[in-house]
Amino acid sequence: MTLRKPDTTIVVLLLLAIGASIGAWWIPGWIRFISQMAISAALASLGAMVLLRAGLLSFGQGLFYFAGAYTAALSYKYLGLNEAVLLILFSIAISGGVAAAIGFFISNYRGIFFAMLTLAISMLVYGIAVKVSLFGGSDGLNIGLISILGFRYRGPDLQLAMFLICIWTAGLMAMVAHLFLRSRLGKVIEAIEDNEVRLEYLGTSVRSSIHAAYVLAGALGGAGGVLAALSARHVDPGFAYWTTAGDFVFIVILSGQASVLSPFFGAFALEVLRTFAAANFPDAWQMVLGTIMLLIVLFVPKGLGHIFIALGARWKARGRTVVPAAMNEETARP
Amino acid sequence: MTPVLECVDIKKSFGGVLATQGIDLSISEREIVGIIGANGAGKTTLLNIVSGYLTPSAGRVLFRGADITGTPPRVLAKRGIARSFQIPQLFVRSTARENMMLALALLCEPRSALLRPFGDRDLEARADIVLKSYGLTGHADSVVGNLPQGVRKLLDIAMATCAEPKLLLLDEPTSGVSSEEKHDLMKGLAKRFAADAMTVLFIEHDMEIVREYASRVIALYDGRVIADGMANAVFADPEVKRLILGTRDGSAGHA
Repeated sequence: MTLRKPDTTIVVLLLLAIGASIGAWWIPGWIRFISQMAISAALASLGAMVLLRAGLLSFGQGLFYFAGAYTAALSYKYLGLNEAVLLILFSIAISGGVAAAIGFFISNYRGIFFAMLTLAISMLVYGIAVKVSLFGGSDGLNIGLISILGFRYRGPDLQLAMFLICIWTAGLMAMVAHLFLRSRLGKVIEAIEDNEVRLEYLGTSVRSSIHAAYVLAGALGGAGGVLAALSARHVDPGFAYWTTAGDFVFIVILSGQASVLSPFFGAFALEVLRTFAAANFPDAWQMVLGTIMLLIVLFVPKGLGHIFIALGARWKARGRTVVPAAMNEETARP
Repeated sequence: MTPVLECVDIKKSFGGVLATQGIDLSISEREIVGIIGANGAGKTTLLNIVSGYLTPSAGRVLFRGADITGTPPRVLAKRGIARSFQIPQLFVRSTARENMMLALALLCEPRSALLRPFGDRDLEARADIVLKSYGLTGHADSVVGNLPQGVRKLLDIAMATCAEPKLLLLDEPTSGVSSEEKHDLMKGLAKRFAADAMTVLFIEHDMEIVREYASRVIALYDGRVIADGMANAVFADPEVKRLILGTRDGSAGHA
């Protein structure tokens, strides 16, 4: 028996989570908070990335971000649920459930229709949330004191504990997404963009496969939403607004879709970019973001994450001589 | 013995156009049937109906005695009806090996295996065996989008046959393949059909290929069967000569 080679992505995720957990004590509070918001956005973006693998552009990840956040806030307010871990699990389950229900309908659509419908459903929910007093209207809802694994932390301890919860929830969700994407079903998802007809002739239901990916995207969006809600202790209807979903799409374009690590990189890059742009060009920071988006689409269309892939390939190829390639060129000449 | 495939009075209309107007045919086990006919005769429509891609407007399709009219391709694929395409239907961003791996994983394994890792050594090895048997080993690592048409065609057929189907439908297997490679391709396929006891229905425009490899020929014209039998008998049929063979060498005018 040979030992199976450990999966690189899982190892990197574990190392990142362990590193962040140990480093947490030395990281200043405001950076931890920004990280938590970036991680939350990254999870929702990861959902968008899963769908983009099937060639489906979702402008509706905000809906699940909203569903996750509001499940937590409403459960806290009306059910008296105040245990963070339970709130997280519950929110992910509800968001996944919402996605499962919408999936029956949305899995029939492709391309622009899919993008517009996800956007429309999300905006519909936004419209309702703004008006309904149960949801706190346009002010949203606050989340008061919560316990973490039964412990009622206060002040800095609570912030630290919350940071750790965020890191590990995100790490676990990313691993689930990774296992999905590298599975045969994950390959089917990729193949959908190439050829649906062949998939059907191979005995696979394209619709069910999209449905499965959509549920995963919903659960990831919900996980992002609940982490954002518990970090900021406040939710508002803006979670379902289309610019929120637009951010998630921006993150995926920024980072590319090479790996489940990409959106995390993209979300942090966006956060840094935004901070930098807002500090240096207070009146024109959106223009800076727009310009960078344009440059990426023009020059690194596969996303910044692709730079790591290229570096990795070069690292693997180190030591090998360049001669064979040159020879190939020679022999290929007519 | 129950025929492998039976079509009873199949009709299909697209809008006001009748693509097939009452096709009856019955195919027994291990027959290699060639379908000939001019463009628009309803050949591909027939294949689409048999494989479940289209539901006929009227009539029934029976597969080994069971009514499969309107059953979708994904169900029929698992029951043993496979199909190749006139224009290869492949996953162009993946390599040839990955295409074959996906075909094997989806056709030969239960749904519960879907969550197992795709990059599986065993699956890879099985894909390589199939690719080798079709002489595609040299292309295994190439991205399909970069492969020449003839190779894609072969891969398309290989993916259809990899799970040893009971009934194989081939839509113009030799189109897009160079004339010197056509016979090698068909020879290889014929050997495989015999070895795996497959029943085959293939559409073909090259009459030489039909004559050589079909154990039986069905001629379609205007959505109807106009001749059905041994190759020599069908090619000798005056109606076939006039309507199908004639138009091919350009001696007859257009209808």
